[in-house]
Amino acid sequence: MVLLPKIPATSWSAAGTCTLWLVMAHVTPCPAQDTDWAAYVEKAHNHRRIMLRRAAARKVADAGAAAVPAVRAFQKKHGRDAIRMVLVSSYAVSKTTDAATLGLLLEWAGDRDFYWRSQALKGLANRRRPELKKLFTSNLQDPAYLTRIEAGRGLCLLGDHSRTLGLLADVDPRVRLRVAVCLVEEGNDRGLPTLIEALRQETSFLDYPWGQIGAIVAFKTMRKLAAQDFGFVPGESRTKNGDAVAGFEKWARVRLGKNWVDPVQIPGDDTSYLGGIEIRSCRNGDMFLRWTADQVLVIGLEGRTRIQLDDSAFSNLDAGPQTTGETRHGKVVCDFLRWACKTTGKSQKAAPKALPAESSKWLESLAKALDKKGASEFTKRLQNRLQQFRARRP
Amino acid sequence: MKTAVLTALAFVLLPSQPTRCGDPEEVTFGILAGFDYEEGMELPADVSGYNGKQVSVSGFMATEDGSEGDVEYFIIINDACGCEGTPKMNEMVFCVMPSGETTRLKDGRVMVTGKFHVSEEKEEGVVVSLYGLEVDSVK
Repeated sequence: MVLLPKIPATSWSAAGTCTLWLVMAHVTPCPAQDTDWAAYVEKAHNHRRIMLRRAAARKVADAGAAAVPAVRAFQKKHGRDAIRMVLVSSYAVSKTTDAATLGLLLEWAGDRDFYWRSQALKGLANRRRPELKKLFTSNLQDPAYLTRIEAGRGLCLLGDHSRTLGLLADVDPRVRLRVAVCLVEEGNDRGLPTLIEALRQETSFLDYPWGQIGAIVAFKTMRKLAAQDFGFVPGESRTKNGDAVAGFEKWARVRLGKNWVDPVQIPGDDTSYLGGIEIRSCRNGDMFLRWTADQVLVIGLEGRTRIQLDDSAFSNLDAGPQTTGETRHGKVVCDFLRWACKTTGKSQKAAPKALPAESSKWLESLAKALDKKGASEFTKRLQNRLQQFRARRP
Repeated sequence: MKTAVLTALAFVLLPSQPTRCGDPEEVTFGILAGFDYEEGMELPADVSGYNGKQVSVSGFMATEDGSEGDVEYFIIINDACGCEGTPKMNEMVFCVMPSGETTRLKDGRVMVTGKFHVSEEKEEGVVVSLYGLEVDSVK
């Protein structure tokens, strides 16, 4: 124990200085350069418990420049693909603004092959750096919806709401929602109609409840803003939440007045599907396909594009690929391709370069059938995606 | 790993009632994740009310450490794609299989039934789980 010398009560200034010196000399933990940041980076990647990985990642991110060399050393040793999302998302929410951290985020955000590029862009957006406006603008049309969101948020947080507002008409409802949240949180009420529309959603793609997830996000934002919940119960059906949504809408219309602009409507969907294919990619964007008993191929999360298949293409699609019974192929980090067929009761999920040959063949024949139907743009997209997922030949 | 989860759950379980009692109530991520969680906060009554009850939770199976195949413990999340960031504390349910039993990780949405626990469990001073579930069945 350190014994503090007695200090005259009249000498508060001296006391303060002395105490500060003693604290600095005896109580302050090791200086930053002595912290074993490599160990924290390692822990952020390899600890068995998810929340302890997150705690270590937050510590690394909050340390700013001091820990960046350890992150770079890890990246050099294991490759950029080994960087876990928890580390990048910790940088995204940390407040550090030193050059070393910004350099790291810029490097990650500029690498189109980096899984967590959008999280790096989020980190840059949250730091509100005016010199990054050009970077955000150049990513507004990115194929990955998460990247478009962060590009829009970046501009939104810099006060450039005119370009951000354009994303309220994005083809992906998830982009429209997240950008609306940012606008509203930044005091621009023109995002409100999109949030009201999102509150009504309960639709799913296969079993991905994107509508419900979006409704929860919209609800949290609206509850904060309106300082009341109008009796809305997250996760409850559209019918049961009908009055609550009407309450929110009335409140929002009063607030917006004549500036109310109807949002992009999300089509309701009570179709019964026989199967679906989803390709989720942090790098290249998502693709969603479903088919119905009426031989219609429905494309997109909201199902806005519909293609009538001929008998042969439909029966080939609905029969699914010949599978070996194994349902998981490869280790999924972020990107994956999944399909499910109700008729056969089969499903499969594959990581990049791990899709079995018979499934690739099945999807290639679908692409060809679509090409015959004149949907060449879509055929090209599907074939490009297959390149990413097709298993490497031994 | 399993030891850690079981130890954490054991503290919660000691004073608890027998596990199986009546039909399970369905609890949704709308309720579980419908608020902004902060460590030490008073949880909404509609969440804490599920503590100790027999419930069913629907979601996607994953593991904390990325392991695959037969597992003794797993987490349930609301979206199979973790692209938007690590799930928040109240967006995960930590599930433990009955002693000596394993289950295979399934693709697609599953319904997990069992006894639900709401409690901040800490390791190394960090909250590592909020929702726990002693699994009776995975369908």
